[in-house]
Amino acid sequence: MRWAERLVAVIAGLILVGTIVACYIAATSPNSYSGDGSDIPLSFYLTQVVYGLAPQFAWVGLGAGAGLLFLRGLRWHPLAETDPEG
Amino acid sequence: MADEIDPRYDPAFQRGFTPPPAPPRIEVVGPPPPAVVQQQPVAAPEPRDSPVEPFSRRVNPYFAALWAIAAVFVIGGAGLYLVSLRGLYSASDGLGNSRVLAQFAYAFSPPLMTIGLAIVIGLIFVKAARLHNGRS
Repeated sequence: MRWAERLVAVIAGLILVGTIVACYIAATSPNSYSGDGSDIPLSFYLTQVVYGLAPQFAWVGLGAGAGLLFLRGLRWHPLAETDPEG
Repeated sequence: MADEIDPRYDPAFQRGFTPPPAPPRIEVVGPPPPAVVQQQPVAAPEPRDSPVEPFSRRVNPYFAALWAIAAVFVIGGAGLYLVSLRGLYSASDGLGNSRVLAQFAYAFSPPLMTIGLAIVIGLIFVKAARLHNGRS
C-alpha cells in the first residue's frame, strides 16, 4: 500500500472514530437552553456543532474507506500474490 | 503457343510448367550423438484437491468485500434509522439510550445508506466496463 493510501486510511479512521465519540458526548451531555439571556452552555454548542458536522464527517470517512477498497480492487490481479508496491 | 510460359506471371501456375528437380540431399557427417543418459522417471504431480481456477474466474476479494459492505451499509443504515425512531417515539425506552441512538442515526444513517448504494452502483460500473473491454 502506498503511503498516501495509508495516510488516507488513517485520516478516514480518525474522522469516523472522532465522529462517533462526538456523537456520544453530544447525546449524553445536557443540551437544553431556555433562551432567557443567560450564557449558552458549552454542551449546547457542542450538540449543535455535532448536529451540523457529524453527517458530513461520516460521509467523508465512509466514502474514503469505500474509495480505498475500490482502489485496491481495481489494482488487484489474480496472479499477483504479493503487492509489489509494498 | 498454348504451352509457352508467359514471363509476366508466375510459371508455377501456368500450363506446361515442370518444376525443377529437387537438390540432392547432402549427408552431413558429424560427431556421434551423445549417449542417452538414463533419467529417473519423474513422478507425475498428484492431483490437487482443489483444482486451480481459471484466470478469469477468480473472485476479486476487495470487490467481494465491497459487496458485503454495501449490503451491511444499506441494511444497517435503514435499521439504525428505524430503531432510533422507535426509541424516540415510544415511552418504554429510556430517554438516554434513545437520545444516543437518535444522534447516531441522525449522523450515520443517511451516509451509510447512500454510500452503500453508491458502492453497488460503482461495482456495477466496474463490471460493465470490464465486460465492455472483454474482461470478466
